[in-house]
Amino acid sequence: MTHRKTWRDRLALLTGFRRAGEMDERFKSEMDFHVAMSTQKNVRSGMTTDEARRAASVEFGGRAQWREAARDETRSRYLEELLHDARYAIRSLRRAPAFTAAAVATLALSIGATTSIFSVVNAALLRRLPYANPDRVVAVCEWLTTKPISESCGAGSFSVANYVIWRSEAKSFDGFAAFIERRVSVTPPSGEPISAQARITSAGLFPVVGARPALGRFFTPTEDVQGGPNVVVLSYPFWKQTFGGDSSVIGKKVILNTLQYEVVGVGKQDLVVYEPVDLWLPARFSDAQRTQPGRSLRTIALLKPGVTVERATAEMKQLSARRAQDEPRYNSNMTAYVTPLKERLVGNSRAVLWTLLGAVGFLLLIACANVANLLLARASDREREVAVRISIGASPQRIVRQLLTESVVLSVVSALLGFGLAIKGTALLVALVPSDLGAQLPQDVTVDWRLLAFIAAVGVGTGVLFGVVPALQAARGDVQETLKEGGRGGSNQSRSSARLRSALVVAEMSLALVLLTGAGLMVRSFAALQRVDLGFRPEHALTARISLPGRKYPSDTAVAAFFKQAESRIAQQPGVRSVGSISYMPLTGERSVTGFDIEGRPAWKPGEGPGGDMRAVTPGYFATMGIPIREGRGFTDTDDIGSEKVGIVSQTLAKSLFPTESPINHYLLYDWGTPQRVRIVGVAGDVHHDGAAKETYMEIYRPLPQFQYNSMAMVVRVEGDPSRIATPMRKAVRDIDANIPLASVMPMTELVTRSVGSTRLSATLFGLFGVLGLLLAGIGIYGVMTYTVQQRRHEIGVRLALGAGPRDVVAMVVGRAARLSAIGIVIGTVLAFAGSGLLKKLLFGVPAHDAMTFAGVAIILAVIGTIAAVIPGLRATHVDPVSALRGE
Amino acid sequence: MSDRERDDLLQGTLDMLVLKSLQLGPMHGWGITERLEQGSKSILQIGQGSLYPALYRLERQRFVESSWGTSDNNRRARYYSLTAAGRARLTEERQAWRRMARAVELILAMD
Repeated sequence: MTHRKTWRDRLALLTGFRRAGEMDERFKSEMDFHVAMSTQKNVRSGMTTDEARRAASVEFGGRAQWREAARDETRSRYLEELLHDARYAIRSLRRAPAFTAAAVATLALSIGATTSIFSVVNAALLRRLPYANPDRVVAVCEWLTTKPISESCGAGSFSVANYVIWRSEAKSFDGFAAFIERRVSVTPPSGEPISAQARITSAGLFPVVGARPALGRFFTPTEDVQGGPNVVVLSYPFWKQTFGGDSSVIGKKVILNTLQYEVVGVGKQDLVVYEPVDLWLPARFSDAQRTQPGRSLRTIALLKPGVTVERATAEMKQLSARRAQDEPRYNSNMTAYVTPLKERLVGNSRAVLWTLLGAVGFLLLIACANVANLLLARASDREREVAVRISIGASPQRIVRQLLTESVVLSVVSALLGFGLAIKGTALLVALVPSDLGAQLPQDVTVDWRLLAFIAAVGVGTGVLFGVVPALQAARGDVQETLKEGGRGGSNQSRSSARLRSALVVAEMSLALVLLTGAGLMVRSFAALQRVDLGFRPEHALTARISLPGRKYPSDTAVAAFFKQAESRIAQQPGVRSVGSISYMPLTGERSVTGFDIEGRPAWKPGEGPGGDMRAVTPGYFATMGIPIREGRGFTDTDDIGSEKVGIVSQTLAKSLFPTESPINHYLLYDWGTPQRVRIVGVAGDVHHDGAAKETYMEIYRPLPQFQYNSMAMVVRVEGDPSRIATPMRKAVRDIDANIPLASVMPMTELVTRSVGSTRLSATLFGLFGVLGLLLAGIGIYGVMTYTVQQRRHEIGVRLALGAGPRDVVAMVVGRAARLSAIGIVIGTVLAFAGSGLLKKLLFGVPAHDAMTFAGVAIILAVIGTIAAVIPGLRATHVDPVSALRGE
Repeated sequence: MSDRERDDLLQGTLDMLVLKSLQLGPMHGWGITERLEQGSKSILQIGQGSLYPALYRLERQRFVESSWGTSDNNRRARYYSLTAAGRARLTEERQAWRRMARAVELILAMD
């Protein structure tokens, strides 16, 4: 007898299907053989051949019926059985609604939360920049050699002169682009002027990032020259919004400020360098600009293939050193740095996002521990059921498969819910992410499906592992032993599963403690930030930026006159208390720093002196913002263009440079294109210009007419709701010049809210994770204690019978829970103590090892652990000693 | 307990007997009925209507495999033989059966 398997046999084995014809043939052949053998036997026992054949056929029974039955068996029943198992699983899950709800909620929440956070982290930190050669794109910046380089390397720190020289000299780059942003007013062919963010850039920007236009073309190096044509490239969203996505826009004219510009192209959706902008204009650096000393450009460059960041840095340092020799006045103590753009972009948000990812990972661990715990509890409840079924003949495989199906159904339902939560959660999170982090987020943060699959696999794996392992144990175990136990659950596997469950609860408690400690520290930081006096009163104030086109308002007098007129018109509106303007509003991150000297004192060496934060203000500014004048006077309308040059300094400047005398009537000297000599006439209260967490700067305020800015942020203090003034304000400005739009209109309080956005985000999410973790740990303790009580019914019954009071029983249960909590709290505290240092960067006004937070969190956990144990404890007092002892 | 599971029990017993008979060596369907009849001293008469479905079922579950061969009297016959999985299954079922039998005996022995 040979047995060679054909490929069809193998396939049939795999699928359970065989060709119907082949099977019919086989049935027939086997039947014939069987009947023949049966006939032979009958003949041997003395029948005639005819009789024997008839008897054999009768014995065989209805052929057709038999064939049907045989055919049924050969057809795959897999699907049918699966459906049966699934129905059974759903039935049995519905019989235990509390267990099912707890397990599904735990898994779904953790899958959703982990995926959402990771999707944002992935988009912000891990994803490659959407450029042609993302790894070769670098940021270049100039920075003082005397101070440690800041994380942002000074946004806008490049001089036009150095850029123009190095653009042709630097050999490390295939492209080198410089740009700066400006607010402009855009009037489309039909419509009202609107305010737009323009990036004025060298033509090299597009090749550096390897961008291709969605429509038309980008401007070329030949257009990017002094006197070049007025051309503009629109961003994709701006084109969609303002031009309705009309592709005939190419070649059309729009009015930018006062001049006509031709639209030559539209960028693609993913053309984003640093923050998104609305449009791009050619830089067309003029000869005058090329010799200006100020540093205000940002630059990016494309490394030549094979050139490392180190080599490029070395070259740039060399070039910087040469510039310092050639023009020491502006370049001494300055050097250039080269950093991969990706690193620059994520620098600030990295800590926050990784921390949140870590936190949500902890939450996932707690959730898995909790689900494991729930499943183990359920498994020990079912030990008896399983034993009974095996003893009456159900095959262990069948039982394991049923339990497996149940775990899979549970996990799949949770995973599906988790998917939904992940999608909602990601959108919510992107909306929550503050703008300083948000600037680095691509516009299309979506759920990362590969990750979702991974997390879901973790969840499902946990469900399956902890659902099936105990079932297998039960299936293998000694059935009689289990049956004899009478469900008292004292068998070996239930004892080891009880130990495992206690360990899981301890792990949950310690992880929850770590999360809560993080949450506590973040919330305390947030509270500390809120307590900081920013130096101005943000309530009942509205701010808006007004930018005047230079060509229409060419002279200092015209600009000063416009703002004076606008302020007085707005001040006349009902409900307005006062109006003022400043060049750079606090909390917007905008500032302009210059070195200065004090008359009568030795001058600082270039690059070694203090940096003065220069801001132009109108007379009403200090009163409107509620910034006190501590000494001397504020500005008045008499501080005009022709009058004496005056300035007001901040307390920080006064204290650090005039510690023993009054700064009033001292003269500040600085170079702002032309040499300036400014008499200090007042000292203003300190303002946290870059947010509560940042130090206060040495401010030098100048009156607007003497210190020209075409773009000012106006602030209006009103009675009641500040947003109501927006419309009258817009109208007042339009009445003076119909082409001037308002930009960045918002209540001051919103600026404040935004400035603490990333701390708020961390505090909110950490708080949420902490509370969820705490809840899960509480459920864990509750579950274990409920089980323990059930297990010890007998013992409790004996105690009650021997005269123990309910109080003793509760104390016994709570005492056992307290032991688990205590171990968890100790382990968690050690972990949190070791780990909280990682949070240091994100904390404000609270030490990483803040004793109060640690103690508070431990107490909260202990209380929750106790409460969770009291309920099963109380239930234990209701044990009826008689029935417990009878073992029912 | 559903009807389905009661079926499992009855089928399980027949399946175990078929596996046991194949433990002696590969055999065709007719031979299996003969072995079972002789082995049980004619107490068990296995209906062909249950035997073949059982064989096909066991083959689908990969506890047995089959191939064409030639019988003693030179006829073409389908021979069934145990797989490794079938042998393991037999051992398990045997244990389960013994437990069951003991349990039933214990119950019947109750006063």
